[in-house]
Amino acid sequence: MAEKLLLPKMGASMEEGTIDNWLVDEGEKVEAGDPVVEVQTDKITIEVEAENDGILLKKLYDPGDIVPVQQVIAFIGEEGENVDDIMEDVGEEVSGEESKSENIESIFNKKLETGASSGDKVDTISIRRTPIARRLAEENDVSLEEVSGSGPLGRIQKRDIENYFKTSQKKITPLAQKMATDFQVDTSTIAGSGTHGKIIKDDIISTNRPNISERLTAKRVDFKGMRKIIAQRISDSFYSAPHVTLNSEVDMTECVTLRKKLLSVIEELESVRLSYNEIIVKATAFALRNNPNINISLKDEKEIVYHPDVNIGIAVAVPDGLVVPVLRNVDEKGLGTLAKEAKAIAKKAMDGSLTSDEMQGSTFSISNLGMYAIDGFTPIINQPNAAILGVGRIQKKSVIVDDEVAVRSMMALSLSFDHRIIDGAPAAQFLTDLKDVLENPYKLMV
Amino acid sequence: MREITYASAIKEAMVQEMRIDKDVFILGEDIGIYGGSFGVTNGMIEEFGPERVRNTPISESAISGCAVGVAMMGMRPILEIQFSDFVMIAMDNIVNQAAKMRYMFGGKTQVPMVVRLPSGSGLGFAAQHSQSLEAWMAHVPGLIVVQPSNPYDAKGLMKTAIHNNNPVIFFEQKGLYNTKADVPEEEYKIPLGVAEVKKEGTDLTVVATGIMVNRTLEAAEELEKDGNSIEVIDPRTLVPLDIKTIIESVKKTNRALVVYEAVERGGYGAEIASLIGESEAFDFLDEPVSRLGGIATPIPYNPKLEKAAVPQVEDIVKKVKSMMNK
Repeated sequence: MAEKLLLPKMGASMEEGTIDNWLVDEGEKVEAGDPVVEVQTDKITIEVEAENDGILLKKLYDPGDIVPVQQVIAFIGEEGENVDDIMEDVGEEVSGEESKSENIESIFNKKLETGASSGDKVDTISIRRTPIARRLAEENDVSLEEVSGSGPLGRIQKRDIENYFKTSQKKITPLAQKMATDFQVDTSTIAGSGTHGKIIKDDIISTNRPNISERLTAKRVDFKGMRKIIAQRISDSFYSAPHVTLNSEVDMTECVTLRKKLLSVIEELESVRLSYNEIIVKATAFALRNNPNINISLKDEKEIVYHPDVNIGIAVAVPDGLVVPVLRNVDEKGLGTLAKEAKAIAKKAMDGSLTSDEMQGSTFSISNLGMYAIDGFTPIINQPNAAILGVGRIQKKSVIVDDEVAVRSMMALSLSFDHRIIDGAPAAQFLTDLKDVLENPYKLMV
Repeated sequence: MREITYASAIKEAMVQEMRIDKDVFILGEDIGIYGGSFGVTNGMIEEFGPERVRNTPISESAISGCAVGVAMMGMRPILEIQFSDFVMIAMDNIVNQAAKMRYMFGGKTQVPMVVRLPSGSGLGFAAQHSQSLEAWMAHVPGLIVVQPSNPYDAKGLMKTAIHNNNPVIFFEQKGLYNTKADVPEEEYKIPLGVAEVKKEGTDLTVVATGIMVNRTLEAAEELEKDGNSIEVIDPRTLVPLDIKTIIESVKKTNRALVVYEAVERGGYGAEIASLIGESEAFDFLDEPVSRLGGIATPIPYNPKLEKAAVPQVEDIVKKVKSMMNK
């Protein structure tokens, strides 16, 4: 009896996943624990593993299909086992929900179509042809399916193959044809390396015509996986939430001093080095606690949720993308704990080992570009947050303090907020409070 | 070069051999003063006398039994069976004795004899005098079967047959006796098992035997007018058969037709067709290997019906055209 492979629920809030990539083909053997398919959740890519040994009998979804959690996505069983009956069961299970039953129906239809087409597939052995015609076709890589026979009962004769050679255009892919035209390559002199001697792109490139390889260096990457998710989330946020960005310059001199003093203390305590980021996170949490109207979300465009916790998402650049792991209850934690936790999730982010839950539940986010020569920017809100803080570099500048020119460590902050649910004044108040606490970090003690 | 008839060519071969080898002699019905039914042995009794040109009683059994016996004792008899149809009466001597002696005595004896068999139809001799029975003979291991189609081959093959130490069945198509061709007077032999490509062509190979070689060459000329290039192969000897030459030709032309005078059903042409089909030429065939032989009927006396019973030039043309899908 074939076992069902279900789309697992990987996080409390996970409701569906996108089939990203099948790692096993139908008919291939799997062992319990083997990864079978990559599934993209709203945050990360997970590998779904086989729970039993057997043959992957049937995949029910194609890459790109969105599947609800706990839905059957494949069957694993014994070789040759018929899964049609179980498929019907699956059909019944979901028949209550129209959209899902439609889905199953389309799978059945697809199955019927493929079944029909494989039945129609011309068996080249059964094509009526003379021995010499078959031999010539074989030697010249001509598919007998493409030759029409002129002999008795439509039998393919030697002359039919010869006529086919005469009349058939040299086979070439459209791309290769275009390239051949563009670069004036004579295709009649090229031996095709594709199926049945079809000339393909690489054959044209291998002619080493000047300019060909130069002009073809554009790398093409499928728009899928994490990149597609990021793109979706960024544009959803950007086009649904009217962004306003406020900029302010903060005197970080006191923070610099504070960090210097705490560095060795925290290192001894937690074995990590305190960075400005943690101080900024802590200060932000402090300011958010004092400005609860910033620590909010717009839920389903129906209600505004004022979050009791201050959970801050930290944007972390990872190879080819960006993840936002969450530091929870930041306002309740000391700098030592925060430093330790921040380093841990940053490392997990780089390793790609963050769990779905570790990336959910933020109420506010921080994007810190301070390690670059950036002074200010317009960050895009990490939905469902209502605001995001962009952090620039700390730089010594001459500023006026008490009517005197002084050298101070200055830093730019950029606060983008969703103007649908946060007005300009409260946002400005929050940023002002944040600036105040950063310039007077001892207030964190209060 | 001088032109002589098929009959004269055979006689010349026998005469030349009899002059050289005292062991060679001929025997048969009315072969002396009368010169044989078809005049092949005309004048031989004058040169060699009745001892070496022996008239026999009308008993093919006696002729053949005598021949087998003297051959085993070291003579080289050439016996004429008046019509090949009468070979049935000599069959036990030829098939059970002549063909097997050398094998059954472990090579301690041999039967060097030539059995001349005037065969075939077309001269109005009716059913009992017009058959082509070469397949019967070719079926028997131990017999060599020769079927020359022209005077030159007839002389050369007769010499080879006389020199061979095994019984050789020598089919002479009656309709060919008066055909003339250049034949050198001097000594020459044609080896057994070597076919001759009588005409080269590219579109279809016809393997023809006996008188059908001549009819096929005529048909090929006719077909040439429509642009069909026919290759004509004369195997000359049926056993042994030069299948290699035939296969090479079929590989070139991709089509094979076997034309023979004997009844198509079970004829030797069927053997040739099978050998082609089983050979490496198979992968070169663009048409099923086909046969064109006589229809399965006793040869009629009515001249028109007699003609209709065996392949004629127009039949060959028609058959080739159908194979060319024309």
